[in-house]
Amino acid sequence: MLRAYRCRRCGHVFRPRRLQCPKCRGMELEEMALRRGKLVSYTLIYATRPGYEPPLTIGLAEFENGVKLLAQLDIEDPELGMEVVPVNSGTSNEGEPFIRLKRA
Amino acid sequence: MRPVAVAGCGLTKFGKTGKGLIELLAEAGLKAIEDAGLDDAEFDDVFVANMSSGEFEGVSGVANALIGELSLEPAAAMKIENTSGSGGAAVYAGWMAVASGESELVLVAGGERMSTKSTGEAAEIIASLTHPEERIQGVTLPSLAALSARQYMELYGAPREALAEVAVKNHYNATLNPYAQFHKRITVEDVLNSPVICDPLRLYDYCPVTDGAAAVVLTTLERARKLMDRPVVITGIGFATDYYSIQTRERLDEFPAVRRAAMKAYRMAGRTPGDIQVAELHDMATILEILQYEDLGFYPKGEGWKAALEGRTALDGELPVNTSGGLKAKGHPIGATGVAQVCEIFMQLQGRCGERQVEAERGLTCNIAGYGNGVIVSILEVM
Repeated sequence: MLRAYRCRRCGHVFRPRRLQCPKCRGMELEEMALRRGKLVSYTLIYATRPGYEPPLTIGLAEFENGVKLLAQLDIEDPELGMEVVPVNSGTSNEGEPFIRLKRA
Repeated sequence: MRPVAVAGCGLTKFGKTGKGLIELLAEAGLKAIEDAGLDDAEFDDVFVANMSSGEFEGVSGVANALIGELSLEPAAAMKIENTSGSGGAAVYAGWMAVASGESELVLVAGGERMSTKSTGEAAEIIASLTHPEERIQGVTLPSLAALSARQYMELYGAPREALAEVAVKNHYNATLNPYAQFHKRITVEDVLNSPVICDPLRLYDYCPVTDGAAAVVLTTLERARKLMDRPVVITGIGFATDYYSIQTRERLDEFPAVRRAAMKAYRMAGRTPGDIQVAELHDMATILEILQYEDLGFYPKGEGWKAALEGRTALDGELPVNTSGGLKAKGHPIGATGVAQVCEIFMQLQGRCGERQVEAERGLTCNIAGYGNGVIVSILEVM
């Protein structure tokens, strides 16, 4: 599940998690799930870092409240503005659960 | 606060030099001290800008090593690490030391030796500055610039050629700079036919991997007047940060930290963007130079690409930008860059730039840490 964090003091929603709200430095945060977003940019990386197979497609998606996710795309032919959903998809190079974006 | 002047500067040749980091820093530092005519003077502080001496070369304690090479003991000395904004941060520290009244003579030296690693390994070292959640996705700094480029071109209808023109301009300027890594003119077609690095950006959109160092001597205006005819003063300086994770930022087609740092610098100097006559900007990728045109207030939002396309920022344009060749073609030895920018503006204002000389009495530098994570803007003026 892709999580965002809502500040209980000022209502600002953000991610990724940080110790304090970026707007008001409130420390009481509640989790909320993000379901469907729009692709605002993407790139195919040909000069990848060691351990990542080129071309590696990454994209930036914007969800409700302007919250964003930067993630690898499991999408053959990405287009700006297309609707995307976050999915748990395998593990990272470090073996952690990993979120990718798929076509909605 | 008392006025702070640049009393001298020094640069090594940028490129793949085969020299070690300390050797590079010492060469630039010595040149700056000699340039200022202060060979026997006692320095109060030495600030050394460097990102990853440990990762690139297995060396730490670089500030003390430099002090040793230049026999500047017992000056205070420290390394300042602020990723690709290390140089600007060290200049900021040096400025504070002199402006506060605490120090009279400061050496600021920045350097990086990167050619010890492959391009992939260098990308890995540099990517260590990104947010862990972004890092595990495989991002590189060049890939973030590509995300900005696609969004910017889509939003403002900027043609791909406009970005390429930045590379063409900066390569041309570098042919006139003996310290630059590249001395090769390129065309828009060369850029558009070069290998794709991060679609839509290509090899010639990006700065290379570079070894090099740069240094400046900072002192009081009073002392600088005794050393030279046209002293150059840092009349404004601003430093601002932005969110660590780029996902927390509102958009990728602008850098709020550039705007905030610039606002502080303009306010301190009592200047506006229209007063600036020459600028060295942080063109890690071509798109970044265009975004800085806008965030620094030189051109309206969404129209920076037109300035690039129309040659307004060329050597003979209304506002020459990156007369040195910029990060793109002079090279980007990470820790050196922010200091090298000040060197170029200092030399331009003193009329020492030879074939790339422009008419200017006021200049600006913009040095970016990370991907807009931290920004240092300086305004320099002839007094």
